[in-house]
Amino acid sequence: MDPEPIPDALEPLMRQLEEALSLEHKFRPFLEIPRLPRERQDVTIGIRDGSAHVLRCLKIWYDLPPDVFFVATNLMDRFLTKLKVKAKHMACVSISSFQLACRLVCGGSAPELQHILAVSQAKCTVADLVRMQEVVSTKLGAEPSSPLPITPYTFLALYHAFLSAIDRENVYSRIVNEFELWQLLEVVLCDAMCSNYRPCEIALAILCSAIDTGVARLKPSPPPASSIISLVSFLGQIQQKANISEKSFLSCHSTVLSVIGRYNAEIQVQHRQRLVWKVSQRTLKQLRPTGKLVTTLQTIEENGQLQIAPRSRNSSSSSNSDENWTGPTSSRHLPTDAF
Amino acid sequence: MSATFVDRIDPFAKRSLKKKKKSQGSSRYRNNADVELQSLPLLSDVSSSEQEELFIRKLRQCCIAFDFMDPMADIKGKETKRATLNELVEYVSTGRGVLTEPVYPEILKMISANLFRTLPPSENPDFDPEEDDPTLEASWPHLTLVYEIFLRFLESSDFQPSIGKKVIDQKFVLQLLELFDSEDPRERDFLKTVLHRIYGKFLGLRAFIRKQINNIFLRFVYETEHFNGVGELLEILGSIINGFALPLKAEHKQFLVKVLIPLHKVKCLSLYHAQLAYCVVQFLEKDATLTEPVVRGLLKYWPKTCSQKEVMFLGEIEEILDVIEPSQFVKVQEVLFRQIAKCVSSPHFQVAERALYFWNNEYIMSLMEENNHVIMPIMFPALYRISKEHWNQTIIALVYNVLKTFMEMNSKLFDELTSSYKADRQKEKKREKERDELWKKLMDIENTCKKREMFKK
Repeated sequence: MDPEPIPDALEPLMRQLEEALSLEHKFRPFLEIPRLPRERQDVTIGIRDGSAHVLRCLKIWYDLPPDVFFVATNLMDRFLTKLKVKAKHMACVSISSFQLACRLVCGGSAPELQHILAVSQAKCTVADLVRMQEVVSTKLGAEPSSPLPITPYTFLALYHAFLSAIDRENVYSRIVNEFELWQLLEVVLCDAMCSNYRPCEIALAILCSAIDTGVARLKPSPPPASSIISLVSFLGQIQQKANISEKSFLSCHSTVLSVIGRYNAEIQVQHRQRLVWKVSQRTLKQLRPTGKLVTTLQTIEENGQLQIAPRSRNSSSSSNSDENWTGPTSSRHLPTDAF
Repeated sequence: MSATFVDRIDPFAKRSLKKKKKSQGSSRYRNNADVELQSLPLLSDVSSSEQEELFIRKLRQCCIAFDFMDPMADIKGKETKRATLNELVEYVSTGRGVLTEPVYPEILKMISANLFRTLPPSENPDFDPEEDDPTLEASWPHLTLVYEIFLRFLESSDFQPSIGKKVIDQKFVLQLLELFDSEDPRERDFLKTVLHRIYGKFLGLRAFIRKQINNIFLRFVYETEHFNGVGELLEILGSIINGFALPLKAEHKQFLVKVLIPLHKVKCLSLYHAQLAYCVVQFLEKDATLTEPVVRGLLKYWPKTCSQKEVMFLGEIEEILDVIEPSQFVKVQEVLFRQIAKCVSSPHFQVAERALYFWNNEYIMSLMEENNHVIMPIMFPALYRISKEHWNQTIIALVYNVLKTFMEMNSKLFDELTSSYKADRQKEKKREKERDELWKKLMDIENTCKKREMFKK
């Protein structure tokens, strides 16, 4: 079956896609970080992913546009590619990348560094962050005036725009929800395994996965086969246009699927942030009511007589202390992490 | 603690002068003109065959009460009695074979004569146990020794309950219980230990004691809201609950639901909350199936206007959750976390803080993890809203912690909740906008009509 020709109305989108493809290589990270630390201060995959999760949470916290997270992780990963970063500086690197991304995307309405620092509980100062931002923007050429980096989001947004534009029978819009697309991409980019693939590949893999799930969701009343076929053929055209080899795409697709699989299985995230639980003095003083109890009287068995331990000559009149109430420990043990 | 209280009894304090009350003298106390206390030899100075009789004479002598409200009265007599009582404390503690059968009723008589009295009304008619210092018992120098003797008597290895039960009967116990309303904490502390020993040694009195304590508590909760000894009685109950045999008798379960839970609703809960919470938790450790009635009971009495009490309740809930079995947790999680969501949203920062601090408890976290499908949807809207709206920075930081924890627990569910919350908010905003536009249209119509009316004229 011949592929449908791309209508003229899509010309501007086409040009954007071509431009993105040509600039893609400039913004690609190439992470070579170990799973286990070889030296004490090595940044591991766990530390990188943990930082990505924090940035994701911050993006949700501040209700920022989807760009912010993708630009932030892009800056962070490219920085890690260029320079050897120590684990203890990871928080500083990620937070400064994040606020830099905010400024690039939102301009003046970006949240302040002090605020982000306070919320994220990162162990560095505002001065550290300001200095780090200088370093990051210099090393990566990311000035406020320069264009946004090309990230998988750039491509995913374009693919989505394409498919929405040619969706005459409202099939695509029933299958794919754009917020879910961005969420999937966020989840995938929180995993370092996917960082080194071409952004256009990752975006395509996510789109395929989303369409698969979407079609499966419509099982009781599936869309007509012809619409699905034309969707798939359009994806094939994109793959051709972007020059994505079958072999490379299969590898990327399977990696992306495994990450999405773990997400769908609702497994706990591996890299948990070491959180600080600060409460006021007043609350700390009265956490548990029985914390105030010092001694308790000797237990009296229901069916037996009380046997009192012989007391010393000059002991006071207070009750014999037999059991002390001790509550369980309340602090959480968290894995070591830069945060 | 005793040192500072004793220092506070100052007969020359202005307080006693202010009232300018002329002491009428009490019918309890003998007049000065009466017979002075006969001086008796020391027990250590007589032969062992004479000791029993001397002991009894001394006990009878100590039945005479002295008026401590008048610091000048009978100083010599008071001192004689004090010295005698002191001697008797030693005698009862260290003597072997001194607790002969004839001595039992004499000891009890002496104790009754000294202890059993109508407690005076509080000097401060608006006495607030949470705020004010208590009025201390003036005759404490003697009373403390009487209590000591009583205690050593009960705890002596020579003490025989079979003889004791003839003199320590229900009437005695009833009068003892009334003394628990004493304002003097030292007295209540002694009473607590004494009653604990009596309950421990006299199995025949146990049901009676439990019933009387029930009555005291019920009267306290539903009629008077006044009784100074609730904490001490609860402490004794704690040791009793601890010793319950399994399976728990129905009577005991009734007590938990009908008496202990309602004790939570009284205004002055802070005075005895520690002991009460201990009792509740002990019950749950004995029988986990009581968890549901306990939690539902607490939710029923959840404070609505008193934030301090709310913080106390939250502390107790955490202690309950510390020992809860996972199968029981599942039964109460929905209704409990709906309340917690309200607490987290409270504008009173201490309530919100205390509720959010639950997420710092490893065991509670593991329970939430297992049941995140139920709990996250309940908590999420409140948390997400507060993250944007709350005034207190500590709270905001804790909310971040909780949201981050949820995100790590189940990213997918978290994302779904975020999307649906946003979608709901968008719908709401749309509805609001439509409503505003509708009002605007109505106003325009009204204005047009008005103009037409004017034109016609």
